[in-house]
Amino acid sequence: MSVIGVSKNHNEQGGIHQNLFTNTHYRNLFLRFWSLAAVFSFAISLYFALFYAGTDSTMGNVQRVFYMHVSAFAGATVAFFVTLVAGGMYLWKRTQKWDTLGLAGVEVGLVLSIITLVTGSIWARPTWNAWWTWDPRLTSAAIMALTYAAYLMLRNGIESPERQRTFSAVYGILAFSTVIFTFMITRMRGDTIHPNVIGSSPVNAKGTFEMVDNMRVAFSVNMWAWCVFIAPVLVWWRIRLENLSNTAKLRRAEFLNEQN
Amino acid sequence: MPPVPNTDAYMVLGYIVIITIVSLYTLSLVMRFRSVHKDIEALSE
Repeated sequence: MSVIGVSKNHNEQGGIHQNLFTNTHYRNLFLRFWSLAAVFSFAISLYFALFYAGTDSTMGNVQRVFYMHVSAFAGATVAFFVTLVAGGMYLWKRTQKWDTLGLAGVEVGLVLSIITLVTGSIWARPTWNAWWTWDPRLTSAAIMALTYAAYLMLRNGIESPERQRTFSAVYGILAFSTVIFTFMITRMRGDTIHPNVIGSSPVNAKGTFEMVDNMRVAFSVNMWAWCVFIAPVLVWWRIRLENLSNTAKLRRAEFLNEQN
Repeated sequence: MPPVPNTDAYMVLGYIVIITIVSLYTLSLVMRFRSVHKDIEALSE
């Protein structure tokens, strides 16, 4: 197995259909097990965030949003990193499986980015007294999400499959700069009010808190759940969907050929 | 020591949003799978 089960099978239809994640018994079993683990880890992470971690004395219970707000961003980063790697691999190997992997990473990463943005807004309301401010971190996170949303829209606007894949690969690589920028911005700009999880927070940060041991455990459990189980499982299922769609396209093309 | 502010409603809203978005995306995958399966079945007939 190369990348989470991508097979090396090819056919002669010019790349329309490839047996990525072929329905072998082993892969099905592994995906089902991993999916169950993702559901279980989501439930566990909810328990740790809502009941195990203590209540923050300054912000109250809204601080519990932090555990999934940050972990969803980490999961999105994993998914976008997958797209970055897949883009490079596609430009090198020119095989469709890498394009499918890149597409799946963008879609899942975008969903998790939306979770990050919305939960951040909800957390900001009682903490910053505003649903949204054009803070450097918030702005860069919004640009990141919009950049990946544009990937999906622009990709669908290209008719030639080869050009579509090449464009997606290059775009997926370049778009990762917005992820790095979002991560780095609070370390480069002193005027941001967004706190940091890793390293010291900016001087103007509002909503900082001291992580005690229970909070660290809850945070670790959430990071593990989103980065190791939820994001990868969603990417894998999205790959399967794309492969099935490609099979349907191939069947449709064959059907039309027979009609003609 | 100042009292802990009551921000429970925001916490509940946050977790409802998380569960809703994850559920909606999962549901969208299921719906798309069903739709493609139907297409394949129709083309096979």
